[in-house]
Amino acid sequence: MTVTDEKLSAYLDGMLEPEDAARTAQALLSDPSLRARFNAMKVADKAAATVFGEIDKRPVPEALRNLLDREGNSARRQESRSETQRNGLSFAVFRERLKVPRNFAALAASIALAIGFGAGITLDRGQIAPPDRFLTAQGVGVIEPGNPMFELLQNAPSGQTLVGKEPGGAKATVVLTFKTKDGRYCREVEMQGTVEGLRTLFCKQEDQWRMVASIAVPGGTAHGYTPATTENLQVIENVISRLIDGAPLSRASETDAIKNGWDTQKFVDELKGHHR
Amino acid sequence: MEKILQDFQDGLIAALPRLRRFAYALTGSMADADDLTQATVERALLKRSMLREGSNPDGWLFKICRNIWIDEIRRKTARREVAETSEKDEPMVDGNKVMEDRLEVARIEEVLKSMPDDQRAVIFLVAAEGYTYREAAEIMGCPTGTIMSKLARARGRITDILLSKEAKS
Repeated sequence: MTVTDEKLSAYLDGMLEPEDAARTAQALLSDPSLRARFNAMKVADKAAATVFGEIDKRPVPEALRNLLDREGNSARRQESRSETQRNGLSFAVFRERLKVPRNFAALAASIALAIGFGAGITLDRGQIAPPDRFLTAQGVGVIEPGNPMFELLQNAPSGQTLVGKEPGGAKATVVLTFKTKDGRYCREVEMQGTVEGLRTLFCKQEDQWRMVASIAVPGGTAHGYTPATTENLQVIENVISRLIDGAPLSRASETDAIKNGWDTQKFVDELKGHHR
Repeated sequence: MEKILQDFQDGLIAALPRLRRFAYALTGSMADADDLTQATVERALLKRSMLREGSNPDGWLFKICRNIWIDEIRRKTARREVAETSEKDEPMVDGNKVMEDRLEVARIEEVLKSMPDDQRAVIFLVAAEGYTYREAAEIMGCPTGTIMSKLARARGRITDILLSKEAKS
């Protein structure tokens, strides 16, 4: 009887069905060369672990140390914030490595126009491949009470997924919540249709959630696994880094904001009072 | 708020060695691994509200790490390989150092480097870090059957090297 590496490997991890496991155990007893292979496979695991551990001997790069050093971190934030003002890029690590996508100018232009509340949504639809009906109807433009997307933006904590009723089950999840420098709340939503996905940034304005920026990302629920291209994400992240005040909301602050219905009226009143 | 950020950073510092090893397993290059680790930490800091309480932060970081690797860096591998040859001149492994089982790390390293990224990442997760097939599948975004076959292929290749070495000695 021959035992494949796959069986042997699964046997090693105790992952074979009882019958298969018994057959493999029997074969190991009766076949010395199979036994040798099995023992070598155990050594292979240790050998691989040893090789991966070799990186422990290499010093942690300074940039990475700084990133996780509390004091260094706040200094870096300051630095990256002033960089943000200069060139709109906050991801210092990718700055020099970032390949500017071919359609970058078009994307940037379409999104730049969408920034600025009250200026209206001037997103170039051409940049968003036709998404599913669910996305078109509920993921774009001004979101008002009664819309399922409004419910998501208004009440769902980050990480909770809304599944559309349409066949194919388009999905939407809030992935980031933050406050802008002028005191508004914004939330980034990942939407997946069956063939197309969107990353969209909404900001609360009075009783509505308004789309501020949106980019198409490849893949969808039909593919099971959706890696968004970072080039596209960079565009959204640039928008976020221009708007964001400090760090994203913690879960606790997010919960508070949801509880208070994203009310920034108090803040606005305070500002007005100040000016009077 | 500040306290939460500090806790999160402490968690990242604790996870850093494992994250680096995973990045090394994924990229097969220490230089790429450090770039990737840095990018992962940056992304994790930005997206930290996505980490659910009670979930495994390592698994979460590994997923972020793998996504960035797929998206951002693999395209540049060809360019990086040129630079990589100079890294070989640095003594990453002491030539005289021999593993317990008398096999050179370098030889295993070589066969690991020749494997597809995902095979290396899977053998790291299951064989070196003790993740279950299901957990590894979650991190790698593939079915457990794929984990099983990738793991068997990776183990098989190292095993071949080990056995051929034994036959020679």
